[in-house]
Amino acid sequence: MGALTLIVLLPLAGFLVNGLAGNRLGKSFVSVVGCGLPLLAFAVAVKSVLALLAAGTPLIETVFTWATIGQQSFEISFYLDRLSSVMVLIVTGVGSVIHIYSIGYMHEDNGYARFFAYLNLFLFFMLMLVLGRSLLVLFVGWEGVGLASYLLIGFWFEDPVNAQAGKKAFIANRIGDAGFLLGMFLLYTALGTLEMDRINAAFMSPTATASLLGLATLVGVFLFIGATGKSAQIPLYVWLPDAMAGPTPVSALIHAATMVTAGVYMTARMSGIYLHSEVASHLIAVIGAATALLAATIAITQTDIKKVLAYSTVSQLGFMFVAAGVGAYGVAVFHLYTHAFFKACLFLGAGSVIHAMSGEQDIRKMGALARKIPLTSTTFVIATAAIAGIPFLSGFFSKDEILLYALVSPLGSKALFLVMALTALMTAFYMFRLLWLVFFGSSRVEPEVAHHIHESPLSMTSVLVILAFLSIIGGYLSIPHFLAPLLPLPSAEEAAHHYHWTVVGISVALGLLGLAGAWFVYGGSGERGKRLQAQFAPMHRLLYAKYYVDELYDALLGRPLVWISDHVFLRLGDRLLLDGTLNGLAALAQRAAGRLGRVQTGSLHLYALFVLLGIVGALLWSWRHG
Amino acid sequence: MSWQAALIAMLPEHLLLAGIVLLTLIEIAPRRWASPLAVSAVLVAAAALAAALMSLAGYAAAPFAGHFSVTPTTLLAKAIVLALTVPVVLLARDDFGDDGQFYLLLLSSLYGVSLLLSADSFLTLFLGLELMSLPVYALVLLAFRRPESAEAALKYLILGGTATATFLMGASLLFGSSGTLALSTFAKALSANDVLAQAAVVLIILSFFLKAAVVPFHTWAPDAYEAASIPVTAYMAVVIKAGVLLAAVRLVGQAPLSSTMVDLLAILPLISIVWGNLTAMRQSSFRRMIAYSSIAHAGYLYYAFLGAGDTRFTAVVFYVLAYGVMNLLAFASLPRSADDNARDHLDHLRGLYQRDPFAALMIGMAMLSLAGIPPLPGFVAKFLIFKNVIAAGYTLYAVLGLVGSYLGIYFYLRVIQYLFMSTREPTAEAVITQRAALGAGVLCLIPAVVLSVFPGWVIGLL
Amino acid sequence: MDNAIMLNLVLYLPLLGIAMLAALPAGHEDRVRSTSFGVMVAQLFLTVILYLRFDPNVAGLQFETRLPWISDWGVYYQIGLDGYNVLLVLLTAFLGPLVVAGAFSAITKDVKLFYAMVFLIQFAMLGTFVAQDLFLFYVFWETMLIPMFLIIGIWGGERRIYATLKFVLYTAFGSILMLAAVIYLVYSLKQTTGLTSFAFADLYRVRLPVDVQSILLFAFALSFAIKVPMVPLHTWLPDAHVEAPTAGSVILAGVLLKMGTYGFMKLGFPLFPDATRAATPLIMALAVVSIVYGACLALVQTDIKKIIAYSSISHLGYVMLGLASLDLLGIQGAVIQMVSHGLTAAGLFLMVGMIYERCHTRELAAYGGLAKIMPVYSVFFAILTLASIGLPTTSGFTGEFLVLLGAFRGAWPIYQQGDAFPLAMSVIAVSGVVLGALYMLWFAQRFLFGLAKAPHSDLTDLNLREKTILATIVVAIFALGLYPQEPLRKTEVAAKQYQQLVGTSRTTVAGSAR
Repeated sequence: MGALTLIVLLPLAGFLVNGLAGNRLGKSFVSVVGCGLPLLAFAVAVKSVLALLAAGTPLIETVFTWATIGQQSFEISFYLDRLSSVMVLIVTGVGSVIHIYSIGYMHEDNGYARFFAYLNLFLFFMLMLVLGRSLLVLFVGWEGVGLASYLLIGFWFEDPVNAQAGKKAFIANRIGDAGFLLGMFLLYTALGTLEMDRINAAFMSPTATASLLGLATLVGVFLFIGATGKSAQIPLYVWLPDAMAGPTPVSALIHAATMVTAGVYMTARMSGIYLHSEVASHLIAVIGAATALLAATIAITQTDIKKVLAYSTVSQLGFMFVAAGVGAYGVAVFHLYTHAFFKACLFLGAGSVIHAMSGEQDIRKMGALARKIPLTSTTFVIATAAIAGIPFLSGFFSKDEILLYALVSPLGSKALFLVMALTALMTAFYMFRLLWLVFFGSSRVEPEVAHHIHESPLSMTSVLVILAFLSIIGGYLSIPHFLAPLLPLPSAEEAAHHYHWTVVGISVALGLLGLAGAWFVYGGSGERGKRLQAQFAPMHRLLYAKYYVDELYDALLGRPLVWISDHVFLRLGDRLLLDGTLNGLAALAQRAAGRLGRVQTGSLHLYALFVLLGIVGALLWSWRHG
Repeated sequence: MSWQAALIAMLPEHLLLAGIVLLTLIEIAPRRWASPLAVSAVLVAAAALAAALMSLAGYAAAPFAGHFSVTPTTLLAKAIVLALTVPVVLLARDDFGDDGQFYLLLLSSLYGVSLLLSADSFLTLFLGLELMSLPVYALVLLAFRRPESAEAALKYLILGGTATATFLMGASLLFGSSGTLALSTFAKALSANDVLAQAAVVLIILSFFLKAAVVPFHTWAPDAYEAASIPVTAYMAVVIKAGVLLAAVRLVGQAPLSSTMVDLLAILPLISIVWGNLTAMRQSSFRRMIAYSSIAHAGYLYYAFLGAGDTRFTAVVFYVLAYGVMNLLAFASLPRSADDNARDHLDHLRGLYQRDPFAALMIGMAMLSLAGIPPLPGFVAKFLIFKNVIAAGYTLYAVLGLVGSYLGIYFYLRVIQYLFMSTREPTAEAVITQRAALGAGVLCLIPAVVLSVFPGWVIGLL
Repeated sequence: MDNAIMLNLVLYLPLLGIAMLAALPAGHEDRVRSTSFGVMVAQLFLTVILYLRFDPNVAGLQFETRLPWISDWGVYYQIGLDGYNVLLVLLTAFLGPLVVAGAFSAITKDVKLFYAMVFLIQFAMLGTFVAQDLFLFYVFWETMLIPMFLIIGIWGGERRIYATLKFVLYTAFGSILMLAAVIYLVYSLKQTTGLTSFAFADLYRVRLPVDVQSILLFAFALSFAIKVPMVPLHTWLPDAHVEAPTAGSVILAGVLLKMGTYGFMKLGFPLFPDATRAATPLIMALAVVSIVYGACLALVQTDIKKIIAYSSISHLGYVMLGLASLDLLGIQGAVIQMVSHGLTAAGLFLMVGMIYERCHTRELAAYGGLAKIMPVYSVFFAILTLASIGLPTTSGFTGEFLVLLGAFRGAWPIYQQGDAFPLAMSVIAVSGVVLGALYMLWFAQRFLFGLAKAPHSDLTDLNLREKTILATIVVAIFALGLYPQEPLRKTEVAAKQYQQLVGTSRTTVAGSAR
């Protein structure tokens, strides 16, 4: 069995063992299996990436042929190139540490084995997604991670809200998947293959026919619809904030570091198509920018620590799509990669806080935790600085490049740059707001919670430290440069040089400005914050209610669908029209039967009359025709 | 050769006659020295056997040239009709026991039927018809348990009289136009287009409709069937109907039909298919339901005449066979009851499966076959008829007839619903299956199975 | 053993089973059950052997038996396996033991008659699949009605009489018109080629003018569409499912509905290619309507069985779409989808039966949080749910993916020639993927998650028998999802033949349409 196959199958083994026998084997065993196999997968991944770098050419492993129909055959095969190697390292690496974190976090939960089984299942599908050679395999992973996320969001299924959130996520993803399917169908119809390297080659080849390139826009849009579902972009982003109902490690792994970035990965992977469609690229950029801004504005007002992070995730994904939209796929992946570190760190930090606060998530009931849980707060500070774009931390580099290319790329524009700059400012603002409200200022903690606030166990904090460290140094490995041979950056050399330092200056300024603003508003007693909120009350209500988008969708889509199904299809269609007709006919036959039966009065005269009429009638009739 | 010929050719009739004589002797004898049931059963069976063997031997003769002749086909027809009578005789066990007059009348009527089936002249045909019918009027009356029997018998008598009159009228018209009483004149008249012949043909056909209870001449059937006792109803529904139809085949022969005749032979039967099947839905009396079903079946049977000339006999014979066997099977399996009225009521069948699974399964099978649901013989019989109709090009009539037959499915299923799906009444007493009835049932079951599994073989024989 | 003989044995084993049951003395119900189970297992065993011996590369019939039956009409007793029926025969035989075992505890009244009827319908269904002579096919086709009528009518629920009469009268009406069409078809074969035969192979050669083809196709299609069932001929299905005992529902959803789609694939479309191609837009439209309509109705049901019943309508819409697409992928997908639906729907109905035996209600509102009370049950239920919404790695995905891909690929060239309708249909059909997830997850959420509630507090989880039954189905589902290659190979030749038959015109200018 090839290395890539092994990478994919190891977590599956973990799922099967823990899923089938977990409860009988005891927690320690479950932990060993649940974390050991992903770590092993990580090791194998490192090994194969080194092999890749040594070889220089992509590694391909064909596992088996799924189906052969006529000339067409669908193969299950794995593919490792520089792009997928970045992804596979993030998935297995960050994934593994989050598994380790979960040991401490989930220890008290009696669904312990189930939890690790689900996590491993997720890793399995996620690895299929990033290693799949054909869109078919990618799609299997694509839907599979959706399933895993569904199961994990609804992990505490006894609370209907969680189950509801899981369902919402799955449906939103399914809507995206429908678009994704259409994209696949179109590609398959046009090219007769779903293997992504072949598809890219076909689009990039100088001999590509006009009719094929003509499809680029349509395909690109269809595939991007899938991306909006998976990566929580407008209009399908609504599921991600609710997805925070799941356990925090899940939020960190699935809804921050890995799964939600699948859309970005897919866009980069399919860059061959997008390079031929300005329309699709612009659409991506615009949607990304809009999402980033919208989510940032909402994040400013949220009071649930995880909700803030969720919206910041949505916003950061928007950044990545902007990068992809302007053709800087390498940069998109770069931000994806740095984001994986600091956002995971933030979520796990939040988890540690929640753990310490014995389940409390409302930041209005926190404050001044820095002294009580120093390690957590330190790492949290670092990660916050990173996401806010404070210089020399990982986030700074990736975000700076995004801003740069939003400006200088042939596909970019000043407007785009301004929007993203504004968003970056807001990012810095709401992140530092969060920081202050949670760790500094005055404590608003309820007394009974207050006295048993405690730092989390080593299994958790160690992970925080690792991730914080990565958030610091991650940026020094230039992913765009690493991916350049595969995903060349937009040709804007001199422009880039010309604007480079300006943009750097701006982004540094933005970061610090956000920091200052947050300090000004929420620093100290936080009175200013309240006053500000009072001043812009309607605005605040609108943002706090997330622009009422959920309510809007429900009113425009949910209710009408049910109403039509119930009143039109069921009551009118099935019951009234169809069954009505049938029962009507049956009744008619019965009545006719009754009528005819009543002829049989027993009166001889009537009978005789019948006979007579019959005879006479027949005779006359035969004469007329004869 | 005449008298030996007369002796051999009419062997089935002679056996029946012997039976009649014997029964009379038993009646007048001071003390009973033989069971009328046994005697008649044996002799009818013997007659059937004789006819069958002679037919297989390919025997043909015309002892009374121009009036009475036998050919393998006529003998086959006779054999079938007679064979169908055997279960009827056995059925009579618990209604008439050893009451001789029933068997006497039955055999006389049967004699009429077999005369009918080899008639060459309208004279013999008339003799046969009357000899067949008159005893049945009395037979209906025989169920003196119920007063309404008398009334029903009277109606039957009077309407039967009308049939006779119609028939005589037609025959005399034919005689007038052709100057001969030979049966073949009818076939000629079918295609002739002078008014007189036309009228004659129509009248004669109508009289046969009357005998077979085709709408609108069916009105006597429900009353008579309900009034009569089980064996008599069975006899009327199966044997009389078979006799009339087979006689009609002999009458029409292979002659092509003029479009007028086609329509006459399609429309009235079609109406009675629909009418019978619809009306049967609401009946609560088993015999009355069977009456309406038999009206519908008369319709299918006359459809057979739309088919090409050479197909008619096979179609009718096979149908009569399937229909008769299944009807008799149902009658034979009906649960016994002290009160004849209650026994006749459909409610009496409620939850029969719990009481007597075998009987329930038999009746159920019979009903499904009558409804024409495969793989039971009723289906093949219907298929044969409609196949011929379509092959002859009357697709529309065929489709209409099929739709009409669809209407019938419901009331047959209704019986099954009574048998299996409703729980038994507390009042209904457990049944004592009569040995004789059981015999009758078995006598029908065997051919039923053969007909379903090897229909091809049977059709090949015909 | 000779294959042809073995095929006959498979076909007649149920009748043998009936005889064995009849021979058993009254009372011994457990012996009745074990005997029935044994016979079904034997049948499955033989069928599997036949399946393995089935050669995917042979074009025509395999393991054929051909004996004169009604020689005067050219009717033959002709049975055999081909790519069309091989999977469905296997499916039928596969479900047999599960149906029997599933009814062990559920059926306590007239046990003997019940299993006799199960055998009878098994016989009729297998016969319908293997029959290669139209007359024989029709006989088996109609024979199916009787046992189903009794199964629903005797062991059904409250409104069983209404439901079962509705079922029989509905289906019988279709068959009556089909009968007329059958006769007419054979008659015109005789007219055009002079040979009297009911053999499919011969009938595939009959040439008819388009108008006649259309009339005949309508007659056949009516009968098949009722069985499938396609909207708007579906209203018998929910009632039948709700009232039928579990075994009845399983047979109905598992196999009986496939009769309709099989009929279309084997007879309806190939016999009248020109009419079919003319009617393709209509067929596609009805298929898509069924997909969407069924899904929407499933969304608003409160009775568990009705949800699954309506989902069946939706799922079989995919099959029809695949068949109508005339694209090899679509056709193959349709075949897989038939089997897949047979497995998932059967499994779901069995599970509903299991919970019904415990709680005696099918009201969805009465349940909640079963995942807490009956974890094992819930796992199986979740798997079946996901399979039925076509999650990758399950059989449902294989079917839906291939069908939708085929439909799209088939419609694209037509779209480029300027007719966007088929493409639109295939795009709308994709929305079924979303709707499916919508109602199934809504169902699962109410049923499995939320606060634990059930009519009976002391619910026992699945016992070994139930676990085994479901595990078998789940294994099959994953097998078909992960490695469809194997079955697809066996059906490919047939799929190509179907494509070719429907694709090539067999019309005549001068035809006698009476």
